[in-house]
Amino acid sequence: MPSSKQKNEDVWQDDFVLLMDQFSAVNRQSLPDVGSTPKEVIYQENKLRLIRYLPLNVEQKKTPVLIVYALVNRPYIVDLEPGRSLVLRLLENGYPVYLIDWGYPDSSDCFTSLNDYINGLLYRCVQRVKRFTQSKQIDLLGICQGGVFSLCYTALHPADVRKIITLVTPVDFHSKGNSLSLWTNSIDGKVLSNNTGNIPGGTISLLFRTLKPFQLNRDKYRQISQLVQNKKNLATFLRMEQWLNDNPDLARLAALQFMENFYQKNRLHNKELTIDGEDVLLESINCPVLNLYAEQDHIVPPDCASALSQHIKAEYYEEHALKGGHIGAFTSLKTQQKLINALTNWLN
Amino acid sequence: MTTKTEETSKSIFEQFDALIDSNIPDEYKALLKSFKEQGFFFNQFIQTMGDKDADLSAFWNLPNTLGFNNASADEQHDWFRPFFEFGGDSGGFNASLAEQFSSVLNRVTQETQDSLIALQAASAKMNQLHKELSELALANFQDLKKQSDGETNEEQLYQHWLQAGEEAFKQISQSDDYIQVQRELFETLGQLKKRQEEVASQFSNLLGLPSQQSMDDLQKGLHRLRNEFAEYREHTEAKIHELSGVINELKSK
Repeated sequence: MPSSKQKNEDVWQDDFVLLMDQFSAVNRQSLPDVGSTPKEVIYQENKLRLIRYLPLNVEQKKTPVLIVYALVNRPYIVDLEPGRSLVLRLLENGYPVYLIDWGYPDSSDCFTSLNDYINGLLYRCVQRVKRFTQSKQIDLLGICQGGVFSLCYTALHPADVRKIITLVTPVDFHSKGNSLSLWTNSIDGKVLSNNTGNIPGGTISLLFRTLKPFQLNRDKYRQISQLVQNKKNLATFLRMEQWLNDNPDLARLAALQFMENFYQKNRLHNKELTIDGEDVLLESINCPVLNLYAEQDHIVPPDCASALSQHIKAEYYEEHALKGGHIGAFTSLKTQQKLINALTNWLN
Repeated sequence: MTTKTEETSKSIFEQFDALIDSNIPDEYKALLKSFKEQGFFFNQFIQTMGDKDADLSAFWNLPNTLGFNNASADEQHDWFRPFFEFGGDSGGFNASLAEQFSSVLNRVTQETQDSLIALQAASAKMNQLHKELSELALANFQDLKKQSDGETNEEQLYQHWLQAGEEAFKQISQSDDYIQVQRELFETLGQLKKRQEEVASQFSNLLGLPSQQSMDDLQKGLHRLRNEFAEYREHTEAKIHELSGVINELKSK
C-alpha cells in the first residue's frame, strides 16, 4: 500500500502530466483571448486609446459610462472573458460603455504628471465621449487608482459628471494595517526607476505579490487539479495569469507624485491635495456617488475605501461591500451579479 | 495507466523539458515552471515533516518564496536584490554592482565604497529579519499543529504552513524594525544610484555624449509639444462641434 507521502507525490505527478498535455494540445499554441467584446477606438493620443464598446441590440440608456482603470496593470481585466466581463454586463443592460486604455509608457513619457493624466488625458477623453454621445454629462466608473483619478476629476470638473462610481478605490491611504502605505511611507521612489526613467511594472507587480508572499507565490500554483480537469477553469486561470503578468511601466513623475501625495502624505483624505495649483476637495463633489469596495481586499482594505463616506454629503453617498478580493470583486462569478445589480439599480 | 516509478518521473521531466524547449507561449512555460517548483516544494515539505531533526524554518524563507534564489531571478528588478540577497562578506548583488562601476570608470570612488558598505549593513539587517520571520512562522506552525490535536492530514498541514507564514510575515513586515531597515536600504540604494549617475555623467562628458540633463530637457520639450498639440486639437474639435450645432440650429429655423 503506498504511503501517504507517495500518494501525494503521485497525485501531483498525474496533475502535472495532465497540465502538460493541455499545454501541448494544438489549441494551446496561443494564449486564450482577452478583451474580446467588440469595440472601436474613437480617440488616440500618444499611447492612450479611448475605446467605445459596440452596443448590443437592447434598449439604450442615455448617459454614457466611462470606465477609468488604474495605470498599474491593463484595463482588459474589465473584459477578461465573456462570463467575467463587467463591460459586457453593462452593455447587456443597455449602457453605452467607454474605456480608457492608458497604454504602455516609455522613456518619452517619464515627465507625464498627475496633472497631465487628470486635467489632460482624462479631461480630453471625457470631452470626446460627451461630444460623441451628444451628452452634457457622463457617468464615471473608476477602478482602484482610476477611482482616485475619477474622484479628483469630479472635484475639479463637476459640470462634466452626472454620477460617479468608485470600485475598490483607496481614499484613506493611512488606514490601519495598510501594508503598502507603511512600506512606501518613507522611501524615495526615485530609486525604483529604471533606465527608461520610469518605474518598472515588474517592480510594482513584485510589491503586490509581496503583500501575501506565501499565498501569491506558492499556494496558488499548487492546486492544479481543479484547473487541469476543467478546461474552462484552466482558460480563466491562464487569462488571469496573462493579465497579472502584463505590467506596464509607470510614468515616473506621475508615479512619484501619486506615491507622495497619496501613499505618503495622504493628502486627498487630509484635504490638502492640489493639482495644478487647484485644491482637490472631495467635499466639493455634488453628484451622487456609489462606493463599492471588497471585504477581503488586501490592496485597498475596506477601511481605506469606505473613508470616502467621510467626505461626501450623506444625501449623495451610497456604499456596498462586495465579497471577494481586490480583483475578485468584479471578476468573480459569485460577486458579479451583486455588483451589476447594485450598479444598474443605482445608475437608473 | 501511469505507474508511479522512477521511470515515470523521468518521462515526466523529459516531457517537461521538451515543452520548455518547444514553441508554446512563454506564459505557459512560466506557468509550468511555477507548477513544477511548487509541486516539489509541497512534496519536500510533506517529506520533511516526517523528519524530527529537520529545520523546518527554511520553508518560510521569504527570498526563496519570492523567487529571488531561483533560475528566473534574473527577471527581478536589480535594485530589489539587496532586500532579499545577502551572501555574507560580499553578496552577489554588491559584487556585480561593484564590477559595473569598475568597468565604467576603472575605479570605485571612496564614496561608492562607503555606500556599498552601508548597503551591506542594511542588507544584513534585512537578512536577520527574514530569519526571524522564518522562526516565527515555524513557531506559529507548531502552535497550529498542537491546536489541531495532532489529527492533521497533509492538506491541513499545508494550510497550517500557509497560515503560519502569512501571519508571521504580517507581524514582521509591519514592525518598526522592518520599516526602519527598509528605509535604510532605500537610502543606501539611492546613494548608490546617485553615484552611478555621476559616473555615467562623467563618462558621457569624456565621450562627448549629451548629458542626462540635455536628454531630460529634450524629453520635457517633447512632452510639452505633445500636450500643446493635444490641447490645440481638443480646442479645435470642440469649436467645430459647437459651430456645427449652431449651423444645424440655424438650418432648422
